[in-house]
Amino acid sequence: MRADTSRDHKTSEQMSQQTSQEEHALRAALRAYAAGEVDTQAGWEAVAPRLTSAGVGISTQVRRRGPLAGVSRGVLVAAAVVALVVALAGAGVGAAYWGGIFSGPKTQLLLDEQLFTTIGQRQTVDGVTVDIDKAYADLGSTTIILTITAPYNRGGRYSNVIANHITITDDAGNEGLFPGYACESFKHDSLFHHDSVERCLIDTSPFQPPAGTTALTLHVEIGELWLFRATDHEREILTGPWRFAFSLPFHHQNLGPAAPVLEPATRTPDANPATKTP
Amino acid sequence: MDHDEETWLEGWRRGDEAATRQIFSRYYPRAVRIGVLSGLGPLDAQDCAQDAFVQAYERRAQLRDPKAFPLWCHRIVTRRLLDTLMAPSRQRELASAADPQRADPVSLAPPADELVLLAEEREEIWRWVQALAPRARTAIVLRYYADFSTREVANMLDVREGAVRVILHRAIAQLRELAHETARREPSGATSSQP
Repeated sequence: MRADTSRDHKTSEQMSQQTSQEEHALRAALRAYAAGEVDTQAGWEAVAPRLTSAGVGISTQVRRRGPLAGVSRGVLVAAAVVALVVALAGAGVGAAYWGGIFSGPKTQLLLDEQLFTTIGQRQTVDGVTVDIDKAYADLGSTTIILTITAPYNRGGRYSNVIANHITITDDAGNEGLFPGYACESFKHDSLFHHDSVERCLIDTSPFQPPAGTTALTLHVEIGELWLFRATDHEREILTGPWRFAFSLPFHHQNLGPAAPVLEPATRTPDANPATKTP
Repeated sequence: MDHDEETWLEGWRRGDEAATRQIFSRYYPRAVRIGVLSGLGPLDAQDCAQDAFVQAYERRAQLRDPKAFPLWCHRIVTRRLLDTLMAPSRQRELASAADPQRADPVSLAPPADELVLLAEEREEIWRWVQALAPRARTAIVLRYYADFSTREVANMLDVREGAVRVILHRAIAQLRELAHETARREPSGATSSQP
């Protein structure tokens, strides 16, 4: 593919040689770009439940792992979860909370019925901003919607971001267990914004405030943000914490968990590092 | 296709989990890479490959000859890929990604035996490929990365072989033109891409 301005004067043999060189360069470039590792395990974990629903005997007993595990592989599992839920995403960045990770029946109901409480808290650490946008708590689970924003010149290098070491506690120190976590991948859209934006949904086990309590105060801490690129595992770990404290109404009803983040393959009922204090 | 794969494919047709997983492990990485090379983001590429695999699984009764699986499977992958690439929202994302103002082009980390081209040259070629129309880009990837014949690419794109030759010829010509434009902008030849 060499830019040779004398091409018009070449013989057919020279042109053939040039084409061969071009094809060689093209192959080399494509193969180099495709050199990143593909996490087949994570892919299988995302696919196996779907094969089960296709009606044949594929076991859903895939190995469960923490999507927020503090190791590279754990991060990639989370990425696969992201890939799974992003499959549902039809909306662009302008369509704030529709489709994708927000398409689960409970989340959709909460949005339709405007049951979320707007929180509107923001913390910026090392140039990366976390906004707690909305939250909802009932006897089924506690759901938090947040937005992570990275400056364009930084976020543009990565495909998505994983929050790590998430702790959610109430005023009494009770900790929400097994927070399910899912995000859409980074969006770069010159039409709306140049920064890289990722919208996330955290769903955790329900808090049990005393009977008659109508409000719940939550303390949310995100210990780390892992900006990473799935193709070659390049990553940048930002150490927080990003801390938030807010109150919201507690609904004495049980609408269940906020799928899809609590799909079996995304839950890790044991030893999830995300539930530990960093 | 080796004997193991034939055995796995028989198991896959019966719905055997272990065999299905083996087939998945063999074909999924390549499908993801084809998606990435064709212009999808990594997560979209994984999603696309997973969808294609599920679709293939659901339609496996239609596959009469297991030996035809590689082509048949990649055909499904390609269809899914093109559907994604041609979606209006995707077109907007691609336009954004091709924005020359986009900061910090990704750095590549090829294995040592692929260091035929300098990193700058590879990135340049990569950018040119991404500037092609989705169908041409996919044809280029299937032909020059996945090494399918033009006849096989035609099957996957659902066009005649002659049409694929035309698509590839025009794509190469466009890449060549982009190389000329780059050379004109940078007369020092600092980004020459000759191997």
